[in-house]
Amino acid sequence: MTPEREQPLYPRIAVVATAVATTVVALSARLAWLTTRADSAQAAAVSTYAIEAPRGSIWDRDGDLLAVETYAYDIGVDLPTLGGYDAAALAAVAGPVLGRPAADIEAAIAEGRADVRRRWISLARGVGADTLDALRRARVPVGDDTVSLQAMGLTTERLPRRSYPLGADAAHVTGFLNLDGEAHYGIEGRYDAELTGRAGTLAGYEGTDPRAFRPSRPGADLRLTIDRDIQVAASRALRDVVEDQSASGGTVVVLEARTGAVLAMASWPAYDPNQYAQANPDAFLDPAISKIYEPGSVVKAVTVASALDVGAVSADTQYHDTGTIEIDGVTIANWDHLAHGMTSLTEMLEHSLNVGAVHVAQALGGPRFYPALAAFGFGSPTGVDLEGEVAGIVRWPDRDPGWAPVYLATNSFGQGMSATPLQMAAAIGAIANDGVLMTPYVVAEILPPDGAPVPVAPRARHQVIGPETARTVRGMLLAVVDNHVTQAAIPGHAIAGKTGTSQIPTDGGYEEHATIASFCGFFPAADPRVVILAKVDRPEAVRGSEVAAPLFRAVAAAVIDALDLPPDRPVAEAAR
Amino acid sequence: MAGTAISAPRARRTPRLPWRRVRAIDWPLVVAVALAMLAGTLMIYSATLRMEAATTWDDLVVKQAVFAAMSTAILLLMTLTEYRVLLALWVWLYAGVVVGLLALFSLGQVLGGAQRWYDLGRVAVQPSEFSKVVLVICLAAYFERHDVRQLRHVVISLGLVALLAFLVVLQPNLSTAILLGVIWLGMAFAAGMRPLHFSLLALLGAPTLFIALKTNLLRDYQLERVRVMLDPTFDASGSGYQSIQSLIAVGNGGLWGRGFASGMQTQGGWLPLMYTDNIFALISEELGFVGGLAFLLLLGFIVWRVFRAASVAQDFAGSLIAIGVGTYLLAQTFVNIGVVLQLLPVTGISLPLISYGGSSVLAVLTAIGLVQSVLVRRKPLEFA
Repeated sequence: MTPEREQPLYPRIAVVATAVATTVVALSARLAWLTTRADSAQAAAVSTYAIEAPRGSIWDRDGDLLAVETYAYDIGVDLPTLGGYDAAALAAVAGPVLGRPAADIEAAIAEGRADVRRRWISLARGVGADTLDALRRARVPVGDDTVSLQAMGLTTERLPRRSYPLGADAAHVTGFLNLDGEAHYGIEGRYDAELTGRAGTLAGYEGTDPRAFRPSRPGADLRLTIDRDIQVAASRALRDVVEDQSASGGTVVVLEARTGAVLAMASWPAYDPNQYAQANPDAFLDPAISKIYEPGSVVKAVTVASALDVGAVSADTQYHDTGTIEIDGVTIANWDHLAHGMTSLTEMLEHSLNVGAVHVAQALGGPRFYPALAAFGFGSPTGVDLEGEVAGIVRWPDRDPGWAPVYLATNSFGQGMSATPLQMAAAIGAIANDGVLMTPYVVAEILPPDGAPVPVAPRARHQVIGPETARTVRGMLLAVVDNHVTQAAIPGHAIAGKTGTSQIPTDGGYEEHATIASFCGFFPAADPRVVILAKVDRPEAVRGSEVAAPLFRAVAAAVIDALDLPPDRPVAEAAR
Repeated sequence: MAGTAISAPRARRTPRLPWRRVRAIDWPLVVAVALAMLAGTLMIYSATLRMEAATTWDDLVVKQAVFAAMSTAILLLMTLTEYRVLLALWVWLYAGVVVGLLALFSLGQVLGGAQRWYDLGRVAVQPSEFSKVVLVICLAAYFERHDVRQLRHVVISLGLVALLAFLVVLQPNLSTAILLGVIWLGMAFAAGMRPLHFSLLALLGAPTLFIALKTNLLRDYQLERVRVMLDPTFDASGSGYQSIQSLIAVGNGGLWGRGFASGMQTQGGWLPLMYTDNIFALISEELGFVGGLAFLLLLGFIVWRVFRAASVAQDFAGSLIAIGVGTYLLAQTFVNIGVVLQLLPVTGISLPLISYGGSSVLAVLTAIGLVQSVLVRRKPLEFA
C-alpha cells in the first residue's frame, strides 16, 4: 500500500540546504582561522635541533696538523639499568680503567641510589677512545658469570674535543678550545668565526620525524705560516735555555724577512692546550704579543738606522766616548763603565755602548727620533692575526706628560719604553727587508669546505728607511756578530744581529739584579731570509750575548736545517 | 504547486530516455565534478611528486586519471540507466552488498590493519564504498514503498542500515559505518520521519553508545583517536602524529599558501596519507586559505546541485535518491575536512572526488550518475 504523502520533502530540503551552507561556512571559518592565525600551528609545534658543524683543522705550512677535531667520551651509569647489581663490583672494574679510586665510584653510585629522582650519575668526563675501548671490553664478575659494563648501565656520550698534536710547543700560536666549545687565544680565538662553520638544523615536532633539514657547513681549515719543525725546535731550545739558566721565561720569534710570515713563535712558560684546565691561566697569554718588556740595546740598531736615514749621522761618523753622559742630572753610563774614546757607529753597536746611542739620538733630536720609532712600529700593534696583541708604550715629548728629556737618551738604547717581542722582531725585520716594515701574519691560507682556498697575501706597512740605509745597517750588524757576539755565529752563514740586556721595570724603578737578555738578528746578512728574536727573562747569566745569542744560534741552526738554507759565504771566513 | 506532481509516483510510467533530453543533464554539475577530479589529480601529483620506488607519481596519477575516465563512463551509463529499474531491484542489490562484505572476511586483503579491500591485481576494490550507493537506492525504494512516519518502518529501515554498518565495523571501518548511519538519518528525515521518533532514537542511542564504549565495542585505537583530537600532543609521535602534521601543514598555508608542489610538510614527506585522507591538508598548505576555500566552494556547489535535484525529481524516490547522495557527499566531505581541521577525531575517510582511490571515485560518480538519471527524467519545467 502506498501511504498518502503530505509532501514532507520540500520544507525539509530547505533544512538540508541550510545544512550544506552551514557546513561550508563552518569549514571555511575553521580553515581561515588555522591558516592565518599569527601563532600558526607550525610555530606552536615545531622544535628545532642544531646539528653541530665540525670545526676546521689548523695546519702548518707543510700540512702537518696543529689542531684537529677529535672525540672524547663522557662516562656515566644509568641507575635504573644498574638496578640491583653490585656497585662495588662495577667500581672495582671501572675504577682502574678510569683512573679513579673504586671506593670513590662506589660512593658516587650509593649517593645516586639514595636519591630516587636521579637516573644517572657521571663517572668521568672527556676520556679518550682507548679508555672507552677498555671499558667496553671489561667484564664484571657477577656470581659465577660475568657481565659487561654496558649491561650494568654504563653510558657513553661522544663529545667533540679539540686535539693539539704539538701540545705546549705551539700552545700560544694555536690557543685552545675549552670544554664548552669556546675558543680562546691564538689562532683559535682570532679565527673562531672561520673555524666554526655553520651549524645545521633539524626542525620537527618533538619526538617525530624532522621536517626541515639544513645540513651543517664545516668550518674552514687554516694553513699557517708556522713551520712545525722550526716551531718545535724553537720551543725546545727555549725551554732548555730557560731551565738551564733557571730563568723565569722567554720567547722566540722567527719571521720570514721578506713577507713578515711567522715561521715560529714560542714562549715559556707555556701550557698544554690538550689539558688547559690543569694549566696556570697566567700561561694562556702569549708573551710574544700580549706581554711587553723593555727591549734594551737591540733598539740601538733602530736608533742608528733612523739617524743614518735622515743624514743626522753618516756611516763614517765617529764620536768621543767618555764612558758617561749626563742628561738633566741623570748620569747614563756604558754597561762596562769604560770610556772608549773615538768610536765609530759600528764599534758602538759591537760593544753596545749606551753613551754612543745617546749621542746618535741627540744628533737626530726628539722631533725626528720619535716619529722614527713609530715608523718602526713601536707604540702600535703590529697587526698580527692573533688574539690579544698589545701596543707597547713609547712616551712622546709634548704628547705624554710623563716625558722628560732623559727619555730621549734612554729610549735610544731601548730603556724607558716597552714593546712586545713580535714588535721588536718586526722592527729589525724592516732593516732586513730593505727598509720595508711588514705586518707579521700567521694564517697563510684559508681553506673553506667548499670552494677554492683563499691565500693571504703579505702586507707591507710602509717604507721606514731607505734600502741603502738598511744595507748599511745590515753591514754594521753583521760586524757585531762577526767581531763580537760570536755566540750567535754559524760557520758558513753571514749572520747579523744585535744583543740586548735590559733591566726589568718595577713601580718607579728597576729590579735590582734581574735582567732580560735578548738577541735579535737575521741572515743571510746581504739578502736576509729569516729574522729571529731570542729573549730570556731573568737568566742567571746577566748578558744577552751569553744567554740569548746561543739560543738564537740554536734556533737559526734549526731554521737553516728546516728551510735547507745553503751556506752563503766560505766557512773559513766566519772562522777567521 | 510543484509538490502535487510527485504525490503519486507509481501512477506514471517513465518514458524511455530520448537522446535529445541529454541536454537535460545537469551540465554545471558535470563540469564541477570534472573540475574537482582534475584539481584532485593535480594535488595527487603534488602529493606523490617526491615519492620513491614502488609508488611513483606517474603510477598513482595515471591510475587516478584512468579511474576518473572509467568513472565518467560509469556516470554516463548511470545517467542512461532507468533508476526505477534499480529501485525495483533493491532487494537484490542489498543482498549483493551483504554478500560482498561478508566474503571480504575470507577473501579480503589486510591493509593497514583492516580488511577492507579485494585485491584485483593492479587495483584493490573496497566494497564498503559501494555499500553507500546501494544503501541510497535501497532506502529510496523502501521509503517510497513504506511510510517512514510509522515507527516500525523506522525500525526496519534502521535494521537494513545496521546490518551493513555492522559488517563494515567488523572490517574494522567505523567511519564508513557512521557515514551509513548519517545517510539513513538524512533520507529518513527527508522522507518525513517524525520528530518524536528522532527524539526516541536519540534517547535510546545515547545509552547504547555509552554501553558500546564501556564494553570495548570501540577498539582501543578508536578511543585513542578521540583523545588525540582533544589533545593531539599527548602522543605526538604515535597516534597524535597525523593530527599534528595536518595542523602544521594547514598552519603553514597562510592566505595564499606556499605554492603548488612546494609545501614544507608535504614535499618534506612529513604529512602522512597526503594523497588520500589528508589531501585537504596538502591543499591548505600549498594553496593556502584561498585555495582551500576554492575547493570547499567547489565541493559545496556539487553538493548543492545534488540536493537541488531533489526538488525537480519526477517522483518521491528520485528526490530521496538525490537527498541520499547529497547527504553521502556532504557528510563525507565534512568528516574528511573536519578531521584535517581537527574538528573531528582522526578517521580514515577520503575526500570525495579529490582523494586518490578508485573505489571512492567510482562510487561517488556512480552516485552522481544516479542523480543525473533522476534529473534527465524530471518533469518538464513549469513556467508559473
